[in-house]
Amino acid sequence: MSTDEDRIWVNEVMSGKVSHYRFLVEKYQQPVFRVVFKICGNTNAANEIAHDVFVKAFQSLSQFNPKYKFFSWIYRIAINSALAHVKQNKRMVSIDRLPDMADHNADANNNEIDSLLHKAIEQLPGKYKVLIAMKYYAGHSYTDMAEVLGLEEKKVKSRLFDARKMLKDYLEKTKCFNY
Amino acid sequence: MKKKDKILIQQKIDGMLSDAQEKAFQLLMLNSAKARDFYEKLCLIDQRLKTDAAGVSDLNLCPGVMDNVPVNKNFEVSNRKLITLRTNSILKYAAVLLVGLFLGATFSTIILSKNEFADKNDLYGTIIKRSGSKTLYSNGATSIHLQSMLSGNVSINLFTIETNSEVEFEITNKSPNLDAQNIITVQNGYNIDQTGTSIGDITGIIKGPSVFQLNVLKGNQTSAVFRIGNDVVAKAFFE
Repeated sequence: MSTDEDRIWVNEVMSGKVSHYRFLVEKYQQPVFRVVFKICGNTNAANEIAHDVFVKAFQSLSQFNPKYKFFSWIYRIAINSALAHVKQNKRMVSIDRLPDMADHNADANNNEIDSLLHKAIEQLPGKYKVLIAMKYYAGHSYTDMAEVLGLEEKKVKSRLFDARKMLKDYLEKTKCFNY
Repeated sequence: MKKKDKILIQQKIDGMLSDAQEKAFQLLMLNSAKARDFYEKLCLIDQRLKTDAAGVSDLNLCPGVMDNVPVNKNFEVSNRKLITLRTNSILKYAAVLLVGLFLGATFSTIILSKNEFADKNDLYGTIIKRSGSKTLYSNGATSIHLQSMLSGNVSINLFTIETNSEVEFEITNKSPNLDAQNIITVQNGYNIDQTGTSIGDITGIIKGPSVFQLNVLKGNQTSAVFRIGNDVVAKAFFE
């Protein structure tokens, strides 16, 4: 993540070149959407949340502290929004989850492991789900994850290890590895 | 399986092994069926997650977002400065309510001298809380206004601080000559929990049950002070 480049765009936008905000949106829309999607498990909701994240970020741009990195800030907004959505719509997410997965991975529709894996991720506590989402769906490095989440890198590694182990344990319980 | 072996396996999956660690990993795979099983299962999970992630469709939020941002937004004018305070008191609510306290020159704790703030330097602000990305303004209980220093009047409206949560003090546009850099808070026997994270820093804060003190620094001149607690005081010091 080039933070210098981000700072330039932020400054440009704040100095009146509002249309330049699109460069920040273009840069971060995919990873932000992917993280939000994996946390909330629903394409439509993820789309809406990601959209709102960028609009809110724009509206709050004057509160952005240039001491920090733009990507950390935008991810924090995204993660908090996604987690809040999950909290508010627990039942809805669980109902929407399966058809939504089918949209994204039709080939895996009949794949028991994938289906169980999604279920296992759904059941992870939020802090672990966030790491899985950031690592796999947004391709973040440990350093980036540590920065965004305000954790030490060591902590991120150990938490991701725990998350993977929880997934493994869940799949073992469901005898998924026997397929 | 030992913890270090599990960490080795995780590092292998992440492609982060040094040559020496790679050798250790190979040795581990040769000698431990359990480790092999663990590795194979994590590999399968890793692979499935990568495949699934690759299947997530891309999207283009740009048109929708850009349609929703005002093209003529002026950040210079509408700039609102925030200071973040994190309260750490054990009390859940240290709510302090002061209603339209109008302190005259006779009030003994107001000390005024000749270099008082002009009206444009009045401090207007709001205590807000954030919940996720939402800003919560407590109903009628958040605004702070130090005004009319020249005439010796200090008006403090009321505000609420919920402890164990993030609280921000937002300086509004009505304070054109004050920003977060003009605000300092002072420690006085209470722990400093967090410094400001917006423009400028908070250097200290007085916190405790029913106590909150904010010092205002204008240039090198110190300061307007208000303190709200069991003993209500409001002060303006100017050199």
